[in-house]
Amino acid sequence: MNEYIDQTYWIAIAHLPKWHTERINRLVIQVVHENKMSWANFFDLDKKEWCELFAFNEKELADLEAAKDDMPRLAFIAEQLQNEGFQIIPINSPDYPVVLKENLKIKSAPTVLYIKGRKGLLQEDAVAIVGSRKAGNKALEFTDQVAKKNVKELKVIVSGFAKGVDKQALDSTLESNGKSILVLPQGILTFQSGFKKYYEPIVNGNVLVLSTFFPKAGWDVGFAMARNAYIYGLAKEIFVAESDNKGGTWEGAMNGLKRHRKIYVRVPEPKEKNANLKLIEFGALPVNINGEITEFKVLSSDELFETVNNHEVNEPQAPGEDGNRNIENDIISLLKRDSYTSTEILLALKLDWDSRKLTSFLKKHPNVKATAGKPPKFTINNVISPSLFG
Amino acid sequence: MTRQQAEIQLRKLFGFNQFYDLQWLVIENLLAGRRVLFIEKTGFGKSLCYQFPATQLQGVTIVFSPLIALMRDQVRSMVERGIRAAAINSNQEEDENAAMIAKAQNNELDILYIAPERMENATWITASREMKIAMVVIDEAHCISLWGQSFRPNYRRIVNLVRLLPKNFPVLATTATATPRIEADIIEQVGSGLIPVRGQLLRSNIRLFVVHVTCEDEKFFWLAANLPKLKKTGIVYTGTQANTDLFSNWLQFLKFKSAAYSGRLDGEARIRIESDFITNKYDCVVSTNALGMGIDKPDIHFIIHTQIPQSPIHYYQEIGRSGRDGQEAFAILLYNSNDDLELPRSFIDGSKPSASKYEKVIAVTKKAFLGTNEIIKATNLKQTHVRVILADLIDQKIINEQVDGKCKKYFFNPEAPPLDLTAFEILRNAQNQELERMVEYTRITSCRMKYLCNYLGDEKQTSCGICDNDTNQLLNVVSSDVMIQKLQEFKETFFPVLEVETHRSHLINGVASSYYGVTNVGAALRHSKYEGGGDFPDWLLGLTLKAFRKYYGDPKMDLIIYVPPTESGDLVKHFAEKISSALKIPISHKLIKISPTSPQKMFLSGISKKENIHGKFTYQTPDEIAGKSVLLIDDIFDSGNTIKEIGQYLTVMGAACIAPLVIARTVGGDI
Repeated sequence: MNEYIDQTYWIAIAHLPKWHTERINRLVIQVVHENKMSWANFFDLDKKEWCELFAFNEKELADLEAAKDDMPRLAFIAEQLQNEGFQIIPINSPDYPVVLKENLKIKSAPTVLYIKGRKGLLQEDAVAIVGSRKAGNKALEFTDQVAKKNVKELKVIVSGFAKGVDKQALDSTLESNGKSILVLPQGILTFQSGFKKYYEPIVNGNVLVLSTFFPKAGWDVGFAMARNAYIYGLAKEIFVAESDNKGGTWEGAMNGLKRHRKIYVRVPEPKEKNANLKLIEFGALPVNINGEITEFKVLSSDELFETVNNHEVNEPQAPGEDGNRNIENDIISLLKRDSYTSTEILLALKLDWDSRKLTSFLKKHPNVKATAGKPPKFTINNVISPSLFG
Repeated sequence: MTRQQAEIQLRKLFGFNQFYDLQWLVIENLLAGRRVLFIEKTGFGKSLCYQFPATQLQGVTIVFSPLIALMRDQVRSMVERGIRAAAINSNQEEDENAAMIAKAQNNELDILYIAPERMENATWITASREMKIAMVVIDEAHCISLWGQSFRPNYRRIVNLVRLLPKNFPVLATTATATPRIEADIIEQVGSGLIPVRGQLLRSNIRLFVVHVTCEDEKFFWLAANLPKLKKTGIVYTGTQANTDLFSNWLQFLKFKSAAYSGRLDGEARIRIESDFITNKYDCVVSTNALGMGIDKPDIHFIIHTQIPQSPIHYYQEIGRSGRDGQEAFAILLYNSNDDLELPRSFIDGSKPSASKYEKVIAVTKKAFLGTNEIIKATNLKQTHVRVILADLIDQKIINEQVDGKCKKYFFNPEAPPLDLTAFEILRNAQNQELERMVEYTRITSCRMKYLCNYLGDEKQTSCGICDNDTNQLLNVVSSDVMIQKLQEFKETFFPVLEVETHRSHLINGVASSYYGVTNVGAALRHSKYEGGGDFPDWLLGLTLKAFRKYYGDPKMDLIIYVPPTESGDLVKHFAEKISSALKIPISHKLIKISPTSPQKMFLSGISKKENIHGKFTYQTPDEIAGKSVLLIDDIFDSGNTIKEIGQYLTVMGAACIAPLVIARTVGGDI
């Protein structure tokens, strides 16, 4: 950052109320890159100039006006951050981790990072170890093994500072004198107990604490969900110790698979109750307790549905003649087993459909019903009705 | 707003007809959202430059000022005029402060004065975020500069804040004393947007004199002879706390109304002396430079220095407290070229602790997240040193302050640069040069005011026409046999008081027979304690008994108890036995230590000293103590922690009164 004062402006920009990350990032590009403007100059403009140069809508204009008025207050926060040795790393800074930008793109790369610790860690190769807060012993053992193995390979371990797998990942890393990035589910100024607890590793440069949220914000379930994307984003490889079929780990992993990222999932023991296998079905790479790729036999989607298809021997078959026919079949078969979101269906069936197309297809399908929730899941409607294509 | 429009408002709100041109120049810039550094002498009307815009801007103007008394007076006069002004400071109750903060948050204030140390206060930091702030004012802005030697660490955070405020946000920094170098430093720190406006620094009513003396006693003589001739009231500045005691007692001995004032006094005593000073109850107050900055008293008629200040800027600042009513005032420096440089030189040399002490603090902060007191304990360094070191380490970005709950702690920066000692060397050289310029001031034969103004960057100044050199009225010291005898008499009957009284114990203030270094008492103690000289000599006994009689008169004492020894064997015991037989008060040997303590002088901070002896004393038959008046005897009184600890213990055991009596009090003391 060239200008000291920019810190205040960055805080203002990063937390414009109800602005999507992408909208904010586009504004950054417009102002900083296209117009080669400093934030001071930008905020010096009046409403008319803002409209002419940036074509803001009314709501955006009002938000920016409010931010302008709010600036002295934000200066106090910036001062506290500065005084207490926190750093603000905006998205255009050379210190901003390249991998985060590559993984999350303009759409969801956080505009500003607040950190404490040795910022060099942000540029080193990192792996994320993720999993449930209530993970079982096998999952924790896996976490321990994977953390230590990656520490040996001098990789930084990214985790989310929650209970269970996160905590294990951090402990195992520190135990083996490794390096770690903690991605907080809260504003960085509210992490007091953590700073006390991990004082030495932070001072030694082994731990970096990172937050993307408003510095004063307390823990929030929404933040906890949102920061999973940043954990996945900061890492080159992702290890899943244990995942439920919903929640942060699941969402993050599914999102990663969609982006064709390498996600390693521990193959569960026969009696474990979790959704690890499902992730493997959706294309995650199976690994053993040591984090090594294993020969685990995954049913391909064809095989997976063969058995199901067997029940539907009466269906008329016209192979190669009607693609839709097969896809519909595959979908119905899949939905007979469980409920899935459209993204999950696309992954499982390796369809090259747009997810919107699939969603509207599913919504119109008489044999499919949507369950409540966001995103909605789809399952088979028990009322038998004639096939659309029948 | 045009000047004409502004002056209409000015008449309405403040009752003045117009601005000075320089005032308007400053105000015009502020109203346009610019930043100004205004260097102008005391009494010019600098405060109107922010008070007026504060009434015109939307939101509250925050004034950082270290002068609590000044803020109080300004708030009062503004409130009388119907301007919405308030102050928050440590002299007010917390709920009063909270009420003011709430008013500011509700947009019910135009101007809010706060002490710079509030920037260290978590409650304020949180509260300030909820305010709509229109302008920030930094009073006494020279405290920003590291070159000013009056640098205050809590100004650092104000500078940080100002640098983070948006570009078009008005900021005013004001000072009466800034050399061109300090001015440049302030601009460099606050940012290039700061427009300097410089007024004339000449104080045309202050008459400057230098009196050359050849020994310390001559300062006593000069005061005795000349204080009656000076119009009252004024300040006598000394270099040390012990000297405030000595000079003030000398003046009292001569029947002047005088009081000693220094950081050694508790808050209550300070406020009492300040208010008696303001209402002219004293002929003079004898003080370290602790007095004056916070005092809003326009009619100080003389300022006498018994010790040469560290630099012309210090001197200008201190004498600037006189004559603010425009009446003639005298600023007189008593200077002994043989001895007087020792103190400022040792101050300059000692102002930065040794490198190894810095390394010690660094090592400790690397290991754990600690607060100041914990660092003092962990390093066993002096409080004053630890504070200096912490401020420097923050300045060099080696550590950061970080709030932990309600405490302030220190976080080692994982990307800390190595400690830079050259910065201290540069500072020390600069300080030595400034001291040289101060010495030069005593030697010049040209106008002294011109010399000071030039030094402060006011090059245009012509001669003042009223200083000793300009009027050729050179002052000197005349000593007479009568005076010499009087001083001798004073020294033999001056016994330092030990201020140990608190509400929490039955300890009363005690007395020492002498200051350790002022007479030959110190040498005698050293000879007995550390050079195997045997029991304390009888003349010390005589002197101590004299101190007892003079201070306590003929009190009813039931019991003599003495402080059990650490390393000096039975010296104190024998001494107490002799006192017991002389005063015919029974002595008890039953106060003992539960476990051995280290000698108090091993510990460099009050905190560690306190801890060393806390809970270490016990009285074998405590029933004996109940209801008794106890004379408590020791040889040397330093921090006073031992006496206080025993006093506390005996109070708990039911003692009615504990009266301390010691042979010598040290000059320094840690706290």
